[in-house]
Amino acid sequence: MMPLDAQSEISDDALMVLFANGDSQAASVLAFRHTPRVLALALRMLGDRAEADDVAQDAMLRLWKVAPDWRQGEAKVSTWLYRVAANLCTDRLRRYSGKRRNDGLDGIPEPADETPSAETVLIQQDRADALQDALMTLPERQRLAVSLRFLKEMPNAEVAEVMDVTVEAVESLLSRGKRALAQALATRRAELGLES
Amino acid sequence: MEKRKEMADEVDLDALFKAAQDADPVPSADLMARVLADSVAVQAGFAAQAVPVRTTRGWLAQAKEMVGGWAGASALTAVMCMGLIFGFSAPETVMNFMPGAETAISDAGMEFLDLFEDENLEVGSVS
Repeated sequence: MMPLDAQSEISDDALMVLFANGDSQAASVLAFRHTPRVLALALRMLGDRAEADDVAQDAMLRLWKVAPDWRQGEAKVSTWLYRVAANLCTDRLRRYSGKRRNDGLDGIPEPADETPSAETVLIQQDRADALQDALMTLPERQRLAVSLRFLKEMPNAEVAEVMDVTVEAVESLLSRGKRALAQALATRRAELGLES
Repeated sequence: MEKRKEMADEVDLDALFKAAQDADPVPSADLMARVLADSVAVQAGFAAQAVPVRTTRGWLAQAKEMVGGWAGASALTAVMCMGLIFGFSAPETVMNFMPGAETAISDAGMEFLDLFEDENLEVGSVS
């Protein structure tokens, strides 16, 4: 059993080997480290919390199953997971094309009273919701590229690896995606407190 | 003018991206429970494939299985006896057991058998 303070120092590759050899604590570390990441990406792509939960669970299940065959030093676990999650999202979007719900982002709780900090929180939540609305108007590939680059803060090269395209293709998607977002949000700048 | 607008758009989007990053969804307890339950189930599958079946049978039964049962043990015994007979027999006796063998045995083999001529050992009967 791993001591709790050592868990954060263990690499994903090492955790995969430990998991394949029956270490249940390795599973917990991997689950808590990566489930939030794939969930966030799935929610950006699908705009539906229940669907995003299903994709996150499905992606993690595939990670568990691949553990005995995981080759250390090749792909990063996070990159592999993002690619799996992106493909799962693509499958769902194509299956349910036409039906688009946007449940928004519920990561920030509603404040109980009217204080300046509470107002800031509300503004931040409105901005996050507005961005999600605008993301859902983007073509799927632009949405994925923007989500990975600006929301997961991945370098372009890693985005290219997840999407299995060239870096130049990523840059083109990002450029078009940002232009489309700015256009979609143009009429809401005052409402979101963005006009100086 | 266009450049200023682009820069303003860039700043706006950065503010929105920051707000969205801060609002990343937190997995529910239910989702985490499902993910961990899946990991337990998959790990159980690894364990079932890796652990060999333990046997409580005795050494004699295991030895019998190694040689392919009683039939295999009988054949092995017969071969061993033949090998002993050939090893202790004079070349002429070997040829009696193996018609046509003299043409099959190489010169090297004949020289090997010649080594036993001086031993003057009795030939055992074949059962």
